[in-house]
Amino acid sequence: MTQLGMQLPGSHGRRMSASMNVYTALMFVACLCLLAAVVVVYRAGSGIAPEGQPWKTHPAQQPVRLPGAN
Amino acid sequence: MHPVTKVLVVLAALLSIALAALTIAFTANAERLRGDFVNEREAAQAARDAASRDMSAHSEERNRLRSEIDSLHNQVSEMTSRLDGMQRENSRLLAELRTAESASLAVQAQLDQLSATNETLSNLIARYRDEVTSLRESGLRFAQREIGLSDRVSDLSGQLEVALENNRALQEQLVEVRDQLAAAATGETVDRDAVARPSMPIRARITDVRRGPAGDLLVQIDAGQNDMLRAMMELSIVRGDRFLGKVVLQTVDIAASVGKVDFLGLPATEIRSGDYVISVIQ
Repeated sequence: MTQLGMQLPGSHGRRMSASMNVYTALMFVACLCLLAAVVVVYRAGSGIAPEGQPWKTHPAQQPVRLPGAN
Repeated sequence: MHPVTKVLVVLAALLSIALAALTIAFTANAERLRGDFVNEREAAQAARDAASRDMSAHSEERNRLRSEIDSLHNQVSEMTSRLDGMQRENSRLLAELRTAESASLAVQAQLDQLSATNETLSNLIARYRDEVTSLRESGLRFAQREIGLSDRVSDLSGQLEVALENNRALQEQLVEVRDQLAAAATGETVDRDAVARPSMPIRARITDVRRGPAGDLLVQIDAGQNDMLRAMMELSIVRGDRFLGKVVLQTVDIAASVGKVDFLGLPATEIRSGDYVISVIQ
């Protein structure tokens, strides 16, 4: 980072205190997208996972049972 | 790095991990569901195929059963009609049976009556047989008596014929004696050598009477050489028991002869066909 001449954001050196920059915003947006993706995948997974628990998988030798289906 | 950034990084990392886990699970479940879906679809298709085959087989079976049902209905109808016909035939036969039984009773009554009649007729026949036997015995006696009487009649007839023949012979002898007496009275001699008499009894019938060229009465008889006749034989003409005259045979054939009639001085009588000529019994 110091070789690059302190041109990128966040490259103020060791002496300056850290501050929020664009990367923080990007991370925030990424977290939001990840959160949204997690929520969407969670909801979708709940629809097809056994007992409505999206992190579970259907056993291989047993028939598939969807939550809410007869 | 700002602490918020660090927090966000950590949060992002955690969310990434969670997202990864959820995605992996979702993917596994989705894959499992997709496989099951495909299997179910295939099973459904197979089931549909099987169902269609079953339907077609069912349709064929239904058509076959329908045709079989129709044929069975036809058979039932035919059997019903045959049953009706048989019932009618049965009724007719029962009526005929009753009629036959009645006729049988009538025939039996007739048989009984005929048996009684037969017995009566048998008794009558027995009595008639006895009567006929007695009548036949009487008839036999009468026949025997008749035979005896017939024999007596035959004997008497023979005696009568002999007597008649003797009478004729005596008449002829009387005529001859009369001729001899007449000849003796006139002095003429009778040439008896020219005329001969048959040596056996002769009896013939006159078949023709005619006049000869010289006016002599000629007769033809139905006897000749076969009867031992010859020319110049003398026979007597009779009609019944009456002496008519004499005939001297002139020509003698095999079975016929012609002779000249001589009335011997007696009144001339008519000589007819059917009169008889006989020989004088020796």
